[in-house]
Amino acid sequence: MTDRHDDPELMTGSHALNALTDDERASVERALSDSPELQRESDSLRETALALAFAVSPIEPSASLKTSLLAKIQTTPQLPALDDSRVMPEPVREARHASAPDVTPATPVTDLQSAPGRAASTARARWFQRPAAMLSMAAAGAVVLLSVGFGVGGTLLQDDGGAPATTQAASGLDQIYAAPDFQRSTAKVKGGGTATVVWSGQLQRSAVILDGVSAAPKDKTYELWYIGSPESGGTITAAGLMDDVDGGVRSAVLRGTMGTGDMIGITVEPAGGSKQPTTKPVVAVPTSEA
Amino acid sequence: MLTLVEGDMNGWTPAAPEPVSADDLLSRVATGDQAAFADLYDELSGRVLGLVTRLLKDRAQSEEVTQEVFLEVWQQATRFDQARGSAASWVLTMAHRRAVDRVRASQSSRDRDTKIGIRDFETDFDSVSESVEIRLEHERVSRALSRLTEFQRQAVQLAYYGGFSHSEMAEKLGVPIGTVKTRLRDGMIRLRDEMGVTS
Repeated sequence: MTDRHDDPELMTGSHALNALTDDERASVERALSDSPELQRESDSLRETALALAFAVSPIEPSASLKTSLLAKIQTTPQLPALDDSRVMPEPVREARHASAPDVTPATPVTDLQSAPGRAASTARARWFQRPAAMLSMAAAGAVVLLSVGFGVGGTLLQDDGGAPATTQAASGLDQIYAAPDFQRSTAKVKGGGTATVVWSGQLQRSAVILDGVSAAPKDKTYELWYIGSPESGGTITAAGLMDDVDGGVRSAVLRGTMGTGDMIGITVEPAGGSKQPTTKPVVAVPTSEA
Repeated sequence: MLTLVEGDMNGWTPAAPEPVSADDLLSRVATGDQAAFADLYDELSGRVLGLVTRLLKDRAQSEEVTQEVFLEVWQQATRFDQARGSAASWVLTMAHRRAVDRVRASQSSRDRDTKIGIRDFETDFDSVSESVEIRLEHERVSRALSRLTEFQRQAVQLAYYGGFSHSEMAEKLGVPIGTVKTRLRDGMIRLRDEMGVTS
């Protein structure tokens, strides 16, 4: 019909229906903030999409769901109201680390195994007009929240009660999802499957979600890399291993910090990993700035 | 609006015989009111689970996602801005986002059946057992959907109820991605106009 399919103005429908992937969402939202007219269209279409939600037949949940929820909120703190508090970046950063000490160098980053339930980051951005700095804080608050429902995390998540220590990886991922500048991009992996990279430039963090990628050959592992942009010298930094890839959905938060314009690459390396890549990446995903 | 009865913060005594609006409940949840949370849950959990199940199909996963949604409601209630929409809209928007994410993360598109989305809007709906309110809403949407072209209707339903991204849809339907985007946008605009949504 048209070749101008990158035009954000054509994507308000897709946006309202949550049908966007990758950086399309970011591109639409940039366009929205530039155009009140487009924003109006987008709001009206989102409102319309809600009618689709309201038209679905309700299903009564099992009684145990309510019981379990009511038990969980006993130990789940609520986020502080925003009011007029303006949190400076520094304390926020501390708060983040305090409640989510999730990056432990020297250990593989195969710390989250289940499929992520992405927080409604766009919805949040729309409804919660909170200052950017607050978002990381909010994400830290979501630590307990995210411990629930993943269910596939094995020992990591066996305590359903939401002890923060059990949810390190989940929180890392959710922080990224909840970041105001959250972005994602999906690429095909050589040999089959896809790699979705989610990142936040503000948090300088990223995570990889592999879907349908087969296990590394015997005595090999997948290693994650931050590949610096040519402008920054192109340094390649090891960012952890993914040992548990098996063809299902697996995710890992990358170790270390993401630099502006970094590319995220995955290579197959000898078990235990390498200091620098020894093979060509099976996938490399750019994280250009918004 | 109803006046809330005080003193029920820790108890389970119903605040009032009349239904309290979800908006009121949510504003009480924001103060840490667990009884209000329980009421809000009673009010909206069926809708949330219905919507999530529509996308995910699997009941156990859908209940999990529903739980995630309500825990998020509990946590984020303090941040809810009524000026941006109703409590129910807020909760259902969250639910849809989470359901879409879960469906994409846990079921690769090649395993998802396009027919899920294409399946006629009507066939999933049991009008006999539904409340008047939901029958009305369904009727309204159903009428509006019938004004769309078949392609538009298919695209909108695949996206919203199937959780397909437009690139997945383009692949499944064998049409250019630009066509999918146009169908989704034109379809949504038509739906909006048919339903008289204003924003």
